[in-house]
Amino acid sequence: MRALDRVSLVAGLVLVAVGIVCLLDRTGSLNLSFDALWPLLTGAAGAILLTAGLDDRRGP
Amino acid sequence: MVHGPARPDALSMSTEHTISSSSLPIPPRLERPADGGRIAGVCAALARHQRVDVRFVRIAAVLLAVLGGIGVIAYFAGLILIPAEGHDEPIVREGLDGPERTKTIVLGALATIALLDLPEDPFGLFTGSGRATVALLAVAAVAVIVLRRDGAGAAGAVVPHDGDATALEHPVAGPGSGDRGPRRRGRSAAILGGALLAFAAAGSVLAALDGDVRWDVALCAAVIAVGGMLLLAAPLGGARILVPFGLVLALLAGTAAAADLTLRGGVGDHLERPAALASGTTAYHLAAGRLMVDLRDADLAPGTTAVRADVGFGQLVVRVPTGVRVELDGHVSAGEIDLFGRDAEGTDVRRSTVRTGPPGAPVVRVDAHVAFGELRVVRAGQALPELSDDGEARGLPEAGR
Repeated sequence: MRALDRVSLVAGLVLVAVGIVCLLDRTGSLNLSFDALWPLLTGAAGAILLTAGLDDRRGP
Repeated sequence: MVHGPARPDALSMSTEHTISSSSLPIPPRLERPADGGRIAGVCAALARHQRVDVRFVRIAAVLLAVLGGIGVIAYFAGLILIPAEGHDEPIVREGLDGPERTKTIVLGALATIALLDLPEDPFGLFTGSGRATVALLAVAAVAVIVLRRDGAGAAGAVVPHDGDATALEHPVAGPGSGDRGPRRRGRSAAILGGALLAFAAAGSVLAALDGDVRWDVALCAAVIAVGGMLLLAAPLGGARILVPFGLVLALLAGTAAAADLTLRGGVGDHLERPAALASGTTAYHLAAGRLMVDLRDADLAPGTTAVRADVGFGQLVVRVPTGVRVELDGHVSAGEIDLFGRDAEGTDVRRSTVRTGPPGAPVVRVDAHVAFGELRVVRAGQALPELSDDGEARGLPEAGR
């Protein structure tokens, strides 16, 4: 049994969330503006980078 | 960082103003390295051969890939023409001379035919021909075959002469390691290739639906699909190679959503000068370029007439008639808006205005949107510095609705 890759897990959750938000905008359920887009995308990238940085499986 | 051999002291050899050819440094062999590459090692091979920083080569490759798709063709050519480390001949020569000759010829012909179409319309957004799907399919298939073969060849290259079986163990890097050994590259290639094949299959389904599914919705679905793949792969060792792919898709999907980008109506300069407008809504679309909607001569139906104009990238000019009531709603996602001389710029700029007409006059309701660019609304008699009154005189073609 391989170890859980936390970076893939977090990236997957983040991308699914971003995709759903974009899809809701396209279907008219919400109105995504640039003012909301940049925090959304930078937050997504930041969460992935933070997880990758905290992932200590590489060892010392 | 790639370091080449030390450069000889040219000054000491130039006392007689001659430099023999044997004194020039010999560039490293042009081969795709077993480690140090991101996808197939083409950029790393060129960087090592030319002794330049590989990052510059990668940036150039990405720019060329984005700007028209020629970078994809160049990378694909490098993939099949530059031999992998541990191999004497490029993959195309080995394929043609080996037992997989038929497969090599078929895949090569398929990829060549598909890639020749890429520079015209890399994503099939404007034609919807589905050829990009074929290109994606072919590139993915060839990439997976070649990269898995590279991995096997490079791993075999480290076999010592004494036949020590333990030395066959090529180091396999951890998920976060920067050491990209051949086996890890082969696994990454299989993951990326599998994802591309899945998207190619999805693209074929969308093409079969014949435009019933909007590309922007499909892009959002692709982001969700990549996220789902990552979630499925997480307990199986991960698939981190999909993360940058998913982030790029998310950036594109998010930008399209925030800008209300639709990309309909083709590209170029278009003039719309309707002779009459029926009641209801008349819509004009342009994906990229300049669209001028001239309503001066339009015979308006009694009551309210609605006009909707939309431009993805470029300029939209709406010329409204006199003697009617005009209700105007303008929206620019990113750029500049100018309504009857009152201008503003920025992101998500919305302006609405009403110009009253004589009592009982027809009503024109204009809904104008530009995703990236400029929106200008002028009166019939208002001069435009960059547009003549007669669009045809400037060579603007009449466009269909």
